[in-house]
Amino acid sequence: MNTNNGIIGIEPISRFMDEFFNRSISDIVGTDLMHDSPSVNIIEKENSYELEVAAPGLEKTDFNIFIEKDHLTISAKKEENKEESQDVDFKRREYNFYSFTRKFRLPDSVDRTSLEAEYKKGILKVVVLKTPEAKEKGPRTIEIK
Amino acid sequence: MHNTIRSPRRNRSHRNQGFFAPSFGNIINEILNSPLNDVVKETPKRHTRPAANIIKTENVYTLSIALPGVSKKDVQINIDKNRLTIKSSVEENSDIKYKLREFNYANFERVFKLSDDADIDNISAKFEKGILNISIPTIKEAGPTEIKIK
Repeated sequence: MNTNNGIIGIEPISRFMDEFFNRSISDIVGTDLMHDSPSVNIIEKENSYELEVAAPGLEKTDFNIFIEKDHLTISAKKEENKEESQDVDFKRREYNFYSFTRKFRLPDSVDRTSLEAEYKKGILKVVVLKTPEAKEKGPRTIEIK
Repeated sequence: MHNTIRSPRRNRSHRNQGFFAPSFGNIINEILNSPLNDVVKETPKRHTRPAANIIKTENVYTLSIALPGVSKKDVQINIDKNRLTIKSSVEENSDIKYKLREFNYANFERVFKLSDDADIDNISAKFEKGILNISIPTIKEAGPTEIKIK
């Protein structure tokens, strides 16, 4: 990888970039600052949990999602085009979501047989349903006597 | 029930440890297991500043910004002299009940300074699969010049 610092065409200047500003590109490229495991939001709805996996730039066929016992596993593997990747000259690399695995332990309230997923706008949305028992209980407010 | 789960990948990845602490996976487990907590405040890493890659090819710099879940209409790209600003300012839906929140790109701003050889009149942008790709052509390859001694 070319880490020639002399010909950087784009450099951040705002306060949003403070953490990078005094570093050379070689400090940034391929270091621990890179996002290579996608962030996840989990939303609780009345009858389900929705996991939003922030994994932009992939195809839906790149993902593998399954429930095994108490674990929900979400992974992706995308083959990098070899010819292409050799020539690609990264001046900055803060993300790479080509290959990752994230695992979640499911609570008892999740129906192990339910699993739906959709990939849209770079977000993989994974929906698991609550069990009928969990739905009945639901969250509730406790009155103070 | 409260076993430690570690993704095999994370164990392998030594360079990643400082960023996502090894215990990170455990925190998620706890979240799903405990019905009463308000975990949003305690999330150790929350990404609100979108990540950017910059690739250089012969005549073009491509600035790729990861904006998963963001709509094209919410993103503004401005060029003022040699400052390239990418931002979004969206009112958030406060009704959503998050059990875990590691990212939120509804409101962000990133500013980049373009070098003198950037052809700012011919910058173009495309939004695809949650990635905003901004192409910045260079006017010409400046290259090193040899100065002859007379």
